[in-house]
Amino acid sequence: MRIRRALLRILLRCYPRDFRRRHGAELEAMARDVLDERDDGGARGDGGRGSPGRLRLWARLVLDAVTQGMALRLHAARDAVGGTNPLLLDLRQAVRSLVRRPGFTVLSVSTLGVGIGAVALAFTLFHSVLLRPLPFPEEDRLVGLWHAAPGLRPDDINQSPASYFLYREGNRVFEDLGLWDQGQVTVTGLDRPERATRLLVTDGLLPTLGFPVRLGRTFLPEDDRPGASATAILTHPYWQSRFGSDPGVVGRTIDLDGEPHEIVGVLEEGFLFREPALLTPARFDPATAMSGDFSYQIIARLAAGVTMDEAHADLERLLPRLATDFDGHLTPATLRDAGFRPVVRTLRQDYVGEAEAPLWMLLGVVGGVLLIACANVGNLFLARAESRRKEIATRTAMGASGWSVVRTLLAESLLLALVAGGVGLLLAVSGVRALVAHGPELLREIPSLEVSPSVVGMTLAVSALSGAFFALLPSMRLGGHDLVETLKQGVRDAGGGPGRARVRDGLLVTQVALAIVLLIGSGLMVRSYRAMQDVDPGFAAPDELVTVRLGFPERAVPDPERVALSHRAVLEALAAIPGVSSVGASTSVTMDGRDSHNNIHLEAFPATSGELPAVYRVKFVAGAYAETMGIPVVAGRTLTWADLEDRRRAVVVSEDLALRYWDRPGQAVGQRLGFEPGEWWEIVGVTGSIHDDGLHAEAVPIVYFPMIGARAGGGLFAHRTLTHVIRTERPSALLPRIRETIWSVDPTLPLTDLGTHGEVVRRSLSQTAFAMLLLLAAAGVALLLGTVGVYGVVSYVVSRRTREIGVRMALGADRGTVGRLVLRRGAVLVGAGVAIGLVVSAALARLAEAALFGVRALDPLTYGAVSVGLAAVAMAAVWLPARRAARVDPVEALRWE
Amino acid sequence: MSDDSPESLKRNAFQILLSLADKDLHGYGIRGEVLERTEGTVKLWPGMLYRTLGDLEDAGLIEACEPPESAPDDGRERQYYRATPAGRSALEAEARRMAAYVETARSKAVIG
Repeated sequence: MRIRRALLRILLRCYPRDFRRRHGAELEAMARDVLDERDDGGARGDGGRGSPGRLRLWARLVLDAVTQGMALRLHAARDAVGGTNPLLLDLRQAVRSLVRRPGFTVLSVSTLGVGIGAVALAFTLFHSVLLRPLPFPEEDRLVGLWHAAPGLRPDDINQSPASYFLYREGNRVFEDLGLWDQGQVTVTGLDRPERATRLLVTDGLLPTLGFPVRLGRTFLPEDDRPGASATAILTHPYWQSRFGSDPGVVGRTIDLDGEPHEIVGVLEEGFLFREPALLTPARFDPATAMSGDFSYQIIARLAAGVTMDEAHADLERLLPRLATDFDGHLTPATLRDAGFRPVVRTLRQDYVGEAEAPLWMLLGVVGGVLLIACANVGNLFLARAESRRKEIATRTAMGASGWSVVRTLLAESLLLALVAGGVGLLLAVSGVRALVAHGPELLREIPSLEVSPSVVGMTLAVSALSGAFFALLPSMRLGGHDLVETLKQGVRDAGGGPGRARVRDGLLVTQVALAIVLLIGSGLMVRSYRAMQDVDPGFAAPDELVTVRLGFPERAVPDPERVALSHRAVLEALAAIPGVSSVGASTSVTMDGRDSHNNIHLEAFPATSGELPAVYRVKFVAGAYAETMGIPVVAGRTLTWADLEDRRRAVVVSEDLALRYWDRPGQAVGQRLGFEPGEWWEIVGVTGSIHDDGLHAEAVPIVYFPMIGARAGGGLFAHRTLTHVIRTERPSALLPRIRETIWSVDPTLPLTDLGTHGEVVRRSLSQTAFAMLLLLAAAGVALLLGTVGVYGVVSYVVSRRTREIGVRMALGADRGTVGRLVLRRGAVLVGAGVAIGLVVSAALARLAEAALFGVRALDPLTYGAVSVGLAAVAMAAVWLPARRAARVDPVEALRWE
Repeated sequence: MSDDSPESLKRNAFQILLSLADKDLHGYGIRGEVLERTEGTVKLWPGMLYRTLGDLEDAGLIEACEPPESAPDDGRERQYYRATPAGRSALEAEARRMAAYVETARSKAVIG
């Protein structure tokens, strides 16, 4: 009953406000009475009993409310602007005409609505990511500073503390600049210890961005000096969630990695840059800043009137001093040989760079769907215009001018297109919600993903354009006659005209071609996805691997030796859990994105002077890491607890690394390598290659070091934070037990990222999977619309030519000949569409190459299967009307008309 | 009188005035009366009915009135309507016009 009342309230909304005020209560009461009389046993005979009867009754009530409401509104509008406004008359006529042909209207609105909805959804993503301004004032003056060094590595190199000091003190082009780096810290002193994202910044970063604080103050140069007392600034969400928006938080102290930090401020809302929990000053010492530690990023604000080129020139002037003025491994010769040069990019480019290509692809795909929808609806309009010749003839005969006829058609198609636009917007809004809820994680990071006013404006513009297109389509002819003249002519000529038939055929060929392009695109993505699933990642059964990240802060466990023992204690406790077959730990696990790289020198292959040492990924491991991950031992042995206890300088390398230098992996065993020449570590084993950056990327050469060892200059190093990996056949059942076990060793230990490694691997697949699903959905819609379009056009042509077919049969043509005639015509059109589609696909495929994996852009299997498949479906759509044509009874056909 | 009425009454308006000819009724009552009298062939749906009632009221052919004393007390406040003198004459004019048509049809032996 409550639902019924709500529904009736919604129905009331159909009426204008004045009318509602006057009759609303009575209307509602009466509608209720009408519904009740059915429940009384249908004494008055409306609707009948049971749910279908109830539905029919509701449908009548809805229809009544919609039509009467619309009529009342039109009356009111006409009264407001004066009785005979031609626009309103056109509009009223358009409403009537569309209501009179519900089949045509529903089909057109839903077809076009799907097309427009897809475009609106894609444009929402496009707008939120690429066009929306960053939350910083005069964003166009913000730039990211990078280095290119083609001799060292293909992609860009970022900044070191030395280059920060060099550029900040020496530049003549920036208002200010700041350096930053993102990392994780352990926060203690709150109700529970936890890991939080920390942005390490220099004092210039916030002023450079121009982002204000809400409470307290921003960082001062004094906060950023070496040895200054530690300070921190909270971001707004962290302040809200962890400090309950306490206005007195400034001055309080929190422990970060064991060091007390005084909170000096809270940022304003909306700091959408990397979304950290808090910021701390970097406190670099210019005296000891290393020139070669390129692990940081710099954002600068151009001084007023300075161009990017001028900024670039100024940095180029400063760059040589990086080798001469600072310590580190950078020499003038290295700078020269590696081709070091500065790179200046807009912050926007840095921010959205990766997203740009897929978004353009998405826009292209949905544009294709919209075109197919338009071609389909266009054909419906063509057919309708021809069947309305009589109506138009009557109107012109009664004195309507050509222009007024065109205006009526225009009003109709615009109204229809705008209604479809509304449907499209509704689809887009629910689509965005579904994407945020179920889409890949990447989408959840887009700040405020929503259908904005500019998206609505764009959607309306697209709708209006397609509406105008449909109105003009019936009068489009090769040769381009005058619009009005053409319409009048169309009234007179009986066959629809060869020009119009050509437009219709052209639309059909376009639909088939677009469907081919989208189907080939999705076919290639499906093949990529399957190829990725077939890749041997280099480790075994990730769903039976539990990972958890643990760290011992320096404050709690200062001694490196104790750190190693603590990790070992946890690992041994975990190994003792029944059902756990093996455990190990590493600074980073495959595909978790915590990559760390180092210069690696090989004793047997010394770098000649000026040549740069190779850079390889390094991991620091403990326990049975390789065994637990299921990485096979190719030669020698893996690292053991004994290696760690004895501080043996032993390492393991991956097979692909070994094969870069030696013919067989076994030859690497016994060789030596190190971070610096002379400080050698012995290779004791070789393990299998790993696709460490994800299944879509090449395997990455890796050096595995022990997590604890002797420092070159004396003393010990130990990696405090490790990801523990636990192999078990019952991962989900053991999760609580694993948590308890870790806390039984140390109840204050924060643990993060507890879960199975399968989730991480699936995340690596998820972007390709998402692109595949998107293209499959688009291709499915394209195939459906295309098939419906082919069927519609061919059956329309058959029905128009029934008389001609009858004549042919009367003159002796047999049924087979007639059927073949129709089939041949369909085959020519479908064939042309397939051919054009193949050519366009081949041209576009090069653009999509980067998104493909394990399949060539011109994969013959995909192209062949799609062509044959689509041609078969399209010919089935031709066959149905062809069969009808063959069954035409000549006597009936000649009597027709 | 027929010279005064600018145009003939529309079907729904005629049916409503006819139902109000001998008694005052509320909206749902009008629907029931018409439904019964026309044996279910004329169904007045709420929007259609109240739009016509509004038009008739604006034209001064009907007016809102108090419920008659015989009205059943079912706990619902209902708005009753009655035909005004102008409404009665419009109804009469329309009925006469129709009767004239019927006479013609009878004289031509279209109906018995």
